[in-house]
Amino acid sequence: MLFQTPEFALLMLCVILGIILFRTSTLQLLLLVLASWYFYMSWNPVFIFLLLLTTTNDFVAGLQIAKATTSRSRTGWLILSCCVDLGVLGFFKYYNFFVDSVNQVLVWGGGDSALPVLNITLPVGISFYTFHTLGYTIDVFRGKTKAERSYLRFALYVAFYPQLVAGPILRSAQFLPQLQEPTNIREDNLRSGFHLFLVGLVKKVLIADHVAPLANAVFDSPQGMPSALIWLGTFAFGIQIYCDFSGYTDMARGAARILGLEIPVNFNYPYFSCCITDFWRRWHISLSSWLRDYLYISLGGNRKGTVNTYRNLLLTMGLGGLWHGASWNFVFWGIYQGVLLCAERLLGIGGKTLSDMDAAKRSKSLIWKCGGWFLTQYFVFYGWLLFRVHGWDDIVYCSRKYILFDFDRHVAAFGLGNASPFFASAMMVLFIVLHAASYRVGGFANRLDRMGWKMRLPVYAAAFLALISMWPASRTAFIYFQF
Amino acid sequence: MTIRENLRAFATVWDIPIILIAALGFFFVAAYELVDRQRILPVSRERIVEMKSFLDRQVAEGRKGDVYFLGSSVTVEGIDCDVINPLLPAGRHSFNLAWTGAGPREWLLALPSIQATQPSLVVMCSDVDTVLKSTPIPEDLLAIANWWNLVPAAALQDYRSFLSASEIRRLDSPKYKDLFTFRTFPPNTFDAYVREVSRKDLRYDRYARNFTAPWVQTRAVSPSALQRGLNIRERELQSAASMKHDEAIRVFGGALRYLRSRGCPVLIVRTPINPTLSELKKSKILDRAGESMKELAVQNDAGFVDHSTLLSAEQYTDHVHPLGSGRLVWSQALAAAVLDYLNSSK
Repeated sequence: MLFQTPEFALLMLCVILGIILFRTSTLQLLLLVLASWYFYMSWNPVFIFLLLLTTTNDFVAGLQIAKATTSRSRTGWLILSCCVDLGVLGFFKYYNFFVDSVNQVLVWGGGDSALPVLNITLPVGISFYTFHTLGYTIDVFRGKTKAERSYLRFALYVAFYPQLVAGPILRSAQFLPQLQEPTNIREDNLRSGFHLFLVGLVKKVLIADHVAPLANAVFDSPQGMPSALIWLGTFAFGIQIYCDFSGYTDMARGAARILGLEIPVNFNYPYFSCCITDFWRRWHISLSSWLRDYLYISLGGNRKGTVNTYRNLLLTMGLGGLWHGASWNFVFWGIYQGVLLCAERLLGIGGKTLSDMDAAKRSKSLIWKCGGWFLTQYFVFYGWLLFRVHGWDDIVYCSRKYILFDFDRHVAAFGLGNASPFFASAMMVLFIVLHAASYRVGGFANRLDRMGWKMRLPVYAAAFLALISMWPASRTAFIYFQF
Repeated sequence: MTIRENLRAFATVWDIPIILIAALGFFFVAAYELVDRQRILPVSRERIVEMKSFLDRQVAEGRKGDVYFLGSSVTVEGIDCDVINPLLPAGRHSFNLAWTGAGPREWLLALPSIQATQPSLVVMCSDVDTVLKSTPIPEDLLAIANWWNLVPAAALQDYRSFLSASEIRRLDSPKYKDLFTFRTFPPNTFDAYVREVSRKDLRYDRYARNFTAPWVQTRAVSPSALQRGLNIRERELQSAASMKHDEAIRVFGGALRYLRSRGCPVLIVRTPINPTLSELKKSKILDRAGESMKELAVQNDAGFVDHSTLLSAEQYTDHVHPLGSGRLVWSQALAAAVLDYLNSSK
């Protein structure tokens, strides 16, 4: 059930009416949990059992950790819980990847591929809800949050449907306290949630879905393409993944706000960042902060000497890459981001706070700022190329064409015609204009919240008309659903 | 907050559904005006609407006995009726009714109008894609067929055995669905227009309304584009087993039988195949497909001509489409084949 479907609109309407009618916290929680489970089952009903297993595992582990009197017992429950969570994730997401890799090594060594590949379907959203539950149990263990005693509340924290399949990754301390009191449908929440949802829908339907065919046409078979097309495809994919994922997040936040609940911001104009460190403070914020708090700091962070700091950065980003998908290109992408972060740290660019960066940037010349921005985006977009292209030969070919620009002007007859390349390019230009304008006004959704009705109505009409007339011919799932 | 207060909050956003409904209404009116009245369609789709009008005019003017070529982009770019017409018997004309992306499934949409003109010959040009692929008819094409009544109810009955249930359903659906599908036309029209004006190697020459010599490429593609096309085609041939060859032949046979059962003479032509493509491993499947075509022709008392080895590699713009020089050679060969068939069937 995608956000941009009538089925989701109907579900939202039913839940809103339920919240209005059910005036006790328990009934509302029950309604929201059932709606969330129904939402999850709309993909594949069988996987609800995995969700229940993970939920129950961490609920029990949280209670046991809170109850335990010895450090050994607490650690034991934490390890058990993490093993169950990561075991489920590892089997469903990484088993075949692991087996494929081992078999390839065996074949290279002159042997036969020995391990069997299983026909496993990846449960949608498993990476996201596993990180939710892991984060909760670790927080309880660290004493940063209290163990939740209501199974319903905890189940809703894990499965809350607007964010269930693609985040943002919730922190228990942010979300669970909101569930203590009955929620209400308030006018300001309704309208501002709708504005967020509308902005997300525009990003997804108007930009991402129209740019995606161009990126697909380039990267599904990139061999032979000149640099200009590889750049165009990379640029298209960079815009697609941002509009797709941040569009999803906006819609998720909007849907949650309509129901009277807040989930965190996940993107803060990452393409305006002037260094990679800054980029990771603005891109998929809930994942990067999760990795920082639960992996990088657990590994020792920057407290154990320079060499260990670099090792921790590379490990964290490499595992972060692997989190995205069971494929080597995601690992390369993660390590590549780790190398960039290490390089910035070495050059003294990284590690500063955002306000330091801004202060430092203010003192620099315009050319210096533009250069920093251009270099950052050059490296970020090269990262998207690694993220998108599958297969070693294609990665090598595309990397060569991206880095060593060939100035080949023969761009016709490469099979892009069916991807409406000119319209997709026009949509990319539209994105740049709208994105810059949104940055300038502090976000369109916020701006809409402050507008009077006379200004709002034409905006609604224009947005609705654009959405109806540009609605893609086929339903396209969100990119991050596959993770 | 009470239920009443919650409901009151819900009622304050009344403007949103009202504007949404108004926008939907405006959209339907605009889609009708732009597509039906102003004919703002991508050229590849406008050509189909124009073809229907052209064939209806042929019937209204009582023009019978003409020759029609059906095919895909290979035929669009490979047949020049100005070369063929002088060689035909006096009073007979030939028309190139091919369009880009058309295969036997898509031809079914044009057959009722063609058959109504009582042609002296329908030439079905079968290229590599025609015999190997059988993808569903695109949604926008089905919407056009439904909106402009390309397939009358009687023909739809005959098509039930070739087309999928969803295609049949779409060809018989309420017209508002077509209007909603038309939303894809303005963006695609924009794309096709920019493509036309920005590429100097194409000559569209009023593509949508030109049924004589609609389009030719004036120069060959770059070597890397040619190689890429060959690589993709090689991959397709390697997975040919999964490409629904049998389904393609079945639909082709269905289209052939539809015409033959209504007394239309048919000539099946195997289009020229670039020698570089024939040299690929697994290209034997193309010959097998050619054999299937020949068998179908025999079974249905239709003619068959094999032009697959007619052109040299230099006479192609890429791995499948003929250049201007190739078009001339193929058109002359086709004229001879058509004349031969017309004379032999007298």
